[in-house]
Amino acid sequence: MIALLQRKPAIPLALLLLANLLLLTVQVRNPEGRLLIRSWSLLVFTPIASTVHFVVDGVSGGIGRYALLFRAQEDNERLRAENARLGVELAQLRGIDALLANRIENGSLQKRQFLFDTYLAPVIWKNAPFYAHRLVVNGGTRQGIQKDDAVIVPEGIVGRVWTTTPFNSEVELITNDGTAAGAMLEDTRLQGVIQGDGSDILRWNFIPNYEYVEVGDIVYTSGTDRIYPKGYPLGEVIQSRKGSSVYRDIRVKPFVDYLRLEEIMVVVSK
Amino acid sequence: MNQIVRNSEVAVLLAITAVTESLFANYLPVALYLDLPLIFSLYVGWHSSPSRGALCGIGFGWLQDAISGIYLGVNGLTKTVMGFGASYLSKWLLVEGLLARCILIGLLSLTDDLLVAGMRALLGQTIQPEIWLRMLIRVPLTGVAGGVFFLVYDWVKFPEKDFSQW
Repeated sequence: MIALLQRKPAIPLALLLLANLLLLTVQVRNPEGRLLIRSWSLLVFTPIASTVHFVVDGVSGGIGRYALLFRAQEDNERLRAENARLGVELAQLRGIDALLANRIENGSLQKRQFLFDTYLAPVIWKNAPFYAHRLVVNGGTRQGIQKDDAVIVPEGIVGRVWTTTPFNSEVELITNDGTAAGAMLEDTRLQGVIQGDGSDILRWNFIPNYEYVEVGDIVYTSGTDRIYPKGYPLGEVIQSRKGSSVYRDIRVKPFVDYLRLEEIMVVVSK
Repeated sequence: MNQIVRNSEVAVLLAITAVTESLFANYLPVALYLDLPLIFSLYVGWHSSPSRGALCGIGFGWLQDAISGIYLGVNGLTKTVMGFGASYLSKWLLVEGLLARCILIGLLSLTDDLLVAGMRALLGQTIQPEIWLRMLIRVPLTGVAGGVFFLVYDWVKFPEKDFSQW
């Protein structure tokens, strides 16, 4: 059999090409099948990525701890000042919290909308930005993370959980090709759909030409997609002009620098 | 055909691919312009039978797809063709010079990139306009790195023999 395959190399080539085509067909025709295959590949490759992350962080952390020790006093003073500033901010937020609690008790706001638990997960692996805007984090179904959970950082929205394993999760960034989220303007409450196309800039679609959107306007999540919590910042409008169809051509620059993400927060229960 | 590149070496090259691609993606994204899985596929294919070249090519391709986060099988398919083709090219072409090898690997890298872009377009994915600029950087870089890798690996595996003492 092996001798036959060696004599007629076109046969194994055809078989291997067919295997690839079948694999692609399963993923394209069946999104759940794609997620399953992706989960398996994550299970195989995340131990490698975790090990690399552990080693690199250990080495750079060691250098950071010992070589930069002389900056500790300066850092200490800076942190004291920051602590004082945060104390003031906390007091202000407590006031706002009391106000909100009052409105919740009065029934004018839904409490569920504002309260959710998050799981802080370190990023251990980023896909090559040429191909896909995704990253893998330490934390999976064992930590309560589920498919389609929202992923956020203090600066804004990162994306959603694409697939999970017991120990790791793959996050699809909002900038990935084909990703979308409900979005609105803060002041006019104008709503549309933010879409990623694989570049670093988002498109804000379905805003009619007769609406006014200015460069510099801040876009927030609207919560209509039932994935992302309402009122989280998405980005700033950097281009707004009349489109060739009935909708405006609007580009939004995200607030989050996806290349520099080291830790993210997964919204594990809404 | 004698296997110049042993199975254990292929396994080591696969592990190197996984570690370096993971390192590059996280800490040095600019290094991803270098198509390391293609270089390894070509080297193994160059020194193997066509069937083995194709089989190793699919391994490197699937690994690259899994790390890149795209459909599993896109690079798998192109690297299968590359591994298979490299085996035949080694029989038809006598390419011993560094420059000739660099040019050949660069051309194969261009073919691979065009195949991947074509496959992704067929699968309905958006192809960014910067793809051409990326190819412009990736092709010569992969060509030069591939030529150097072939030279170094050949030098390690086939050291020059001194026949003057015979």
